[in-house]
Amino acid sequence: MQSGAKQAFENEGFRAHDYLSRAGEDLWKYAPTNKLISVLAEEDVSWRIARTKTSIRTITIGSTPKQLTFNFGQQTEVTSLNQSPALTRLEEAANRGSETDFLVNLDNVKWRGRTAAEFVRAIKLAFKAGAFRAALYIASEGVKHHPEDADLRKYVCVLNPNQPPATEQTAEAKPQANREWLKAHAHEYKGKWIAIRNGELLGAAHSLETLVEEVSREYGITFPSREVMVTTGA
Amino acid sequence: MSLVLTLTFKGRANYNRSSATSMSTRPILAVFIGGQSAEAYLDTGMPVTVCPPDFAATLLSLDPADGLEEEVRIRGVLVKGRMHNASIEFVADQGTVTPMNAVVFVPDSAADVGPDLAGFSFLGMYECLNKLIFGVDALTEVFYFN
Repeated sequence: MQSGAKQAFENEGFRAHDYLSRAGEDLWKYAPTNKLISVLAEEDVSWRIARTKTSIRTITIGSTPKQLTFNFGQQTEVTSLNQSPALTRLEEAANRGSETDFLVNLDNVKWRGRTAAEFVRAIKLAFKAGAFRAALYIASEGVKHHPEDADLRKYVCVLNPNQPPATEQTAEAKPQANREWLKAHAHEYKGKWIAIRNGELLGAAHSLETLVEEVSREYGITFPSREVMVTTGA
Repeated sequence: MSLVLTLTFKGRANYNRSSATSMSTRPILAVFIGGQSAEAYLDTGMPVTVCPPDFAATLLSLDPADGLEEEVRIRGVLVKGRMHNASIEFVADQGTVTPMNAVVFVPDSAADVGPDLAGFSFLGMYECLNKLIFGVDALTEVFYFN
């Protein structure tokens, strides 16, 4: 590309850096060259294919630099990074509900250069495919590339709960006694929530909220409770 | 030729608790979820542990700000709800239990997951059962775990 034409792109804040390699596909690709565009590139911006109004093949090396006119935003030509082929295949697998296809296509995704929003989108697609472990993998990759992104950090935190919970040593339900009661009486409370303690029924109600209120009031029990089992009649 | 395999478990629990479910092939275990004594299906076909929304709202202290609002696929159906962390602990008839911090999904509507979610949670694989070595003796209806 002639230096004059290149400078014209620079002045607009863009650089058509792979023009020659992609000219055959009529595709322009831009990379940020100033701070403003860099910031925009980190957002979930829509990247669009731009075509010259004149045939792209009329621009040749050595031709006289000239002002080019582009068509942006034609519906048929608009695409985004979110719809890059790799993510499109993930989306198709997720829409089919195929975890297997999703995982196969996940291997082909290159994460380098992806925005935080794209990682989040891929995580949501993983959930849609029922691929929970893949969701954690994508979130972990996302945090590697965008360590300050709060959304990605939250995904890793929720999906990877490594901290063992603090155990509270209190009176506990006696499983054997409760099981015996349930075997004998659960069928009498079909469709109801029931509270039992040490093989004794404390209350039954159609609404769990009502049951908890009544048992709390009558027995002075604070919920959640390890001592009082809350379940339903069979 | 027979295979001799020795596994060591820390605890055991009987399952299948009531007359109406005695014909069921699905194990129902006594558990503590978020510190609340309850019952739950052991379901290796469930991708994640699922709690009934009224159970979570009434008995679990889950802060919405700590959860993720997501649409997830469960049993081939897309279900909207929130994903949280909660402690899960098996209730052992014999042996000891180590509580775990698990991922729990709470659907907006129990009906989206199926009628059995009304009253029972489902212990699923992701960040719950896949943290364990466990065995099921279906003949005597005993669940072994560590």
